[in-house]
Amino acid sequence: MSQLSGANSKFDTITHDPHPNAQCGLMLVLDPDPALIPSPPFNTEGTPLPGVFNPGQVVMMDANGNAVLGVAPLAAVGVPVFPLVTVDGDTDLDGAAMHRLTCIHGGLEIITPYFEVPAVALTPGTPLTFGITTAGSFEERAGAAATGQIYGFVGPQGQFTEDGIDLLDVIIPQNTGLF
Amino acid sequence: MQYQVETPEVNARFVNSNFVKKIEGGMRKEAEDTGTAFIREKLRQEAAVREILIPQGLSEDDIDRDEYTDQPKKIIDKEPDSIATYVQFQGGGRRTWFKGKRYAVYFGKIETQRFTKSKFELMTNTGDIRQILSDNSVKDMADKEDEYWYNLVSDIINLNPAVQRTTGAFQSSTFKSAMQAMLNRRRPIGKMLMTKSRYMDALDLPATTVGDQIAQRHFDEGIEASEKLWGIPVVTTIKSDIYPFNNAWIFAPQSPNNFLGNFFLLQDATLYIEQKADIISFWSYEALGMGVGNRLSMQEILFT
Repeated sequence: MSQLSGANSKFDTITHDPHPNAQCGLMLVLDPDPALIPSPPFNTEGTPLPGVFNPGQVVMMDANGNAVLGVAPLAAVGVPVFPLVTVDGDTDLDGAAMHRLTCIHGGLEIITPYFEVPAVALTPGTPLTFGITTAGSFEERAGAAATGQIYGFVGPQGQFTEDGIDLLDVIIPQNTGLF
Repeated sequence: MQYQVETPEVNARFVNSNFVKKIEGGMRKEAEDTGTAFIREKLRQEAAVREILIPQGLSEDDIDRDEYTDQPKKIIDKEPDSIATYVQFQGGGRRTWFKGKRYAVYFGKIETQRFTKSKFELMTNTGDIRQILSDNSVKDMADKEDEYWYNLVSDIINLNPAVQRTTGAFQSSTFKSAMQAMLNRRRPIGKMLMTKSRYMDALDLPATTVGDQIAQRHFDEGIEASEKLWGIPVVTTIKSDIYPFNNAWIFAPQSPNNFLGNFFLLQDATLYIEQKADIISFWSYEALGMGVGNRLSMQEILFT
């Protein structure tokens, strides 16, 4: 070694502290794509307006590092994207005030209403892709989505209904993209 | 008479060892309080927005709840619109079922990086650890406040640029037009905001415009000694990366009547420190909300 590395090094570890409910999840705080922020971001009286990103939706980064709703590539494309789940979106009050998104790649387990509800309920262990039918939503790898990038698997609670809302238990491991 | 001279190195080492000792000696709270007071004072000096909108702390009793979320908000009442009319002696004014307009301020958090360091490494720091807090953390937080304010102001001006933007050179007629635009909308003049580098242009204001005395003072003492232009207090900032050099803004005052908006703090800047064995972490955070309820209460000047 010709020189000790140390104080002048540009190396740094900049990972966010983990979310309290996803201790092993890789967390990022992203700006939404400016086109997806209301313009102006307040109503006629001055109250901030919400954006479009809900907790439980899948997002990915565009070339500017901003969040857009996630759309999985198909296997024929061959190159995966880096998906994340929004755990604090910009449709609530602090989201409307700040328009920043707290997102986790994995691993974590979530309950989300953002999935394509199939004719037959999804069962635990089913591989899931995202965004091919509706941007930002989980869906079964079937039909047009049969070769979509895998992002997670249906968790042990499977698909269920609560207060009349369809929900899905999703386990998301940390992964760099599976087809 | 001899004066004691402190070398910065000795002072910084003392401060750092004192910082570590306080934390190790179970005086984390004291270290936090000292740091928090320091940060709040620096933040007050650093954020230009805090001179335009005076921050107001809110307690639990002051915040408003929402049916659909646990997140806090503050609802501000606005004056209802009203009119008067001329009538004959047997006439009367119109009835109105008046409605109070309102707007809400929502809150978010500004947080610095979370600094982590081994106490053994910290011992070698010859720089004052408080300088890291002031020069980096506090400036970063103040920048975020100013960015938020600038974005809010820009969004408002861009909605109505034909009315709320005055274009011209840095001369009295441009400022006069901008102030007249505010007054023509029945908005009083409160303060101006511009970058320090743009403010330097005031040095070029000729004696024929500002008078011999002021021109003489600018020549002798520079522009920093002046805090006003044409009687209007000027808030200046070095943040030309946030507030463009080519712009200045005129804002209505917040007092005695609030013609502008609100800057609420659920919690002012606070230093948090934790230690796990030899690893010391510290960061600062604040919870704030800003809102403008009166869009016409500001005028932008675009210098050509």
